[in-house]
Amino acid sequence: MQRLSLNHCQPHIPMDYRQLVKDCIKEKPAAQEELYRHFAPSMLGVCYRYTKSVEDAEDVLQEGFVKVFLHIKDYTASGELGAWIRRIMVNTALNFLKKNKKYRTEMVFTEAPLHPVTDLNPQVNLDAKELAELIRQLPTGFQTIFNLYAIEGYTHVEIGQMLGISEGTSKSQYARSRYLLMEWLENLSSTSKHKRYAGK
Amino acid sequence: MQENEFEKKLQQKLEMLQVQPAAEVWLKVKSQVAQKKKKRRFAFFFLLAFMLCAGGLVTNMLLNKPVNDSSAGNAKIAGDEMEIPADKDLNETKPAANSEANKEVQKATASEKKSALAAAIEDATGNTIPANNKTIGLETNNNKNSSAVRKPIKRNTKAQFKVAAITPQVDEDETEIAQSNYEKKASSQATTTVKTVEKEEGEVAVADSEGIKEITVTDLNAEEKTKQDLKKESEPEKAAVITEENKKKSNDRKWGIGFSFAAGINKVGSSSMSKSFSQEDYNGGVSGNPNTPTAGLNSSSVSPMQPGYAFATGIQVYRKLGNSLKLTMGLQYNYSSLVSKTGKRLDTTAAVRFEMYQTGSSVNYTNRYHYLTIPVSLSARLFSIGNREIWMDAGASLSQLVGTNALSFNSAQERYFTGVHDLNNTVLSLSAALAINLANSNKPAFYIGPQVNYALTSMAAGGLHQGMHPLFVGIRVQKNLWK
Repeated sequence: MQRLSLNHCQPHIPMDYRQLVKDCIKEKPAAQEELYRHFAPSMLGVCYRYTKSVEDAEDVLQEGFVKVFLHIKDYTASGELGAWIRRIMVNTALNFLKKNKKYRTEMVFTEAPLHPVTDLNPQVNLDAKELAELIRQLPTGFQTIFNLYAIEGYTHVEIGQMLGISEGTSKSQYARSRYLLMEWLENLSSTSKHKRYAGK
Repeated sequence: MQENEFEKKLQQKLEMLQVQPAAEVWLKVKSQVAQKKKKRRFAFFFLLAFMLCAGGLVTNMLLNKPVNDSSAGNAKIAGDEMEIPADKDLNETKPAANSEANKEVQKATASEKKSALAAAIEDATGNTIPANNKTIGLETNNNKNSSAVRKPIKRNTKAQFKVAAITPQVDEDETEIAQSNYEKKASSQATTTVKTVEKEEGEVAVADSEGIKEITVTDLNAEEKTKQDLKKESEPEKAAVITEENKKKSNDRKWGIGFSFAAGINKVGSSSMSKSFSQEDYNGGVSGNPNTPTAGLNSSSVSPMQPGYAFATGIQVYRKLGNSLKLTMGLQYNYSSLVSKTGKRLDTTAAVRFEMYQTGSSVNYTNRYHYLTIPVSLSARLFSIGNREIWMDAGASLSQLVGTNALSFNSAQERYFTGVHDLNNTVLSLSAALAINLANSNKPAFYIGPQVNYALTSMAAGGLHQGMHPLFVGIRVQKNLWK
């Protein structure tokens, strides 16, 4: 994972996307490439969280950007361009998971009783890369629902609509995935504490 | 930890996550976008072409309708003059009311008809027949039929007009002439003209040449006969005029459809070539990105484009704007090619969907370009040599690139690529042509002549095809579907 990097390493350059979007609508190759170069790394980060390998994430990114360029005329300047592209990437990732044999079998969600809320209180001391790797360790179904609810901020109703499941199923799946993740974080945190004490 | 806090922390951390995609991804995106756009454009052009053709056909049909109607009208005007095969059963062309009489008529032999004719002439001259309300029965061998035959038949032939044209004072020679004229017609087996003339006061009816049985003259005095005769005499002329008009209308058909095919050589102007490759190094690619094929094109390593074959074929709809001017519009498929010299082909992985070639001159690579074109041209008749018309065409065309295997060049890797191109998808061209009509004047036109086509739009804004304006020189043939 040498290609993984953190956003804060690069200075944030504010851009006026209006002209860029206009040029993309006119199908100017230069504008299209500029848009791609600007958003591709962060969008691949999004795709990476939903898949199990970088190659799959790149496939999703490719498909997503094709959709972006073909439908950019539908983008209304009222919303943020990054958020619009992100939504496209998330939807593309979900389609990819549903269509791809590797993921399709794990995308079956069963109705389960709500998992009790955990009392664990782990410290999130991991960086983005480590967190993403941890999320990717979750089973695909959990991983998807966790990403959609915790990171993207969709409601359980919306998730239910997106995945064709009930709101309750989404809630229970999320609770289980959250519990798993917190447990892992707790373990990691205790391990690191032990290491620290051992070091002293 | 509060649920929201945990999610917030995760969100904040994961928003920072960035993964640098492989360079191939952008090439794939670009290639896929281009392919999908091509498909869309192809569908659009196909739909446009279909609508144009359908519209042209419908317009053509609508515009031709009056011509057909007028011919139908002519048939109505000359309803008394229908041409039917001489040996054809008259029942097929006659109203049901006369069917019984017709059956009787059919039984008569040719000799009976001739004798009937003689009687008719005799009668028409007024020598032996009373003027008022006379019915001349045929002296047939079959007496059983005679009563039936005596039924008036409201049918006339041209021969009868001849008969009617003869005044009571006509002399014997004229009678003979009339008879011989009629016999000529009667003996002709090609066609028989049947005429029905109904008058308020008088009625002259003669069966057609094959089936004359009876002539009835009813309340027709000599003067009226003469008037009617004159009128009847003028009718064939009138019919002839109408026929001429029909022919003229047919010639004056304003819309038409034809097919065209042109083949020749496609080349790019030498001036534009030298201009393209004289630069030491230029960014042909997009925003000078080093990953972009054709970025930093170097003149020394790039092969110039050499001429290739080209052809165009399509359908066209034309509209006559006068005797010597017409507007043509159509839809064509254009194929053109340019040859460039490359080195050996490199093996690429299955994941990469494009071909790569080294620089060099060992391989002649044919860059093929497939366009859908909408040509619009104005044709003017310059002059005629004998029966051959010489036309000159001038026009413009809008072409849409629907497919290509054209090479691009990446100077960083010193390699040629296929699959990704910077070609302009839409090209505007000017064309000029001479067309000689080789077909006879009574047949649909068949034109042949030289054609030149020059692209106003350059093939590409950057890269190998930068600044190139293809020039097509070839021979074109056009075949119209009808005159």
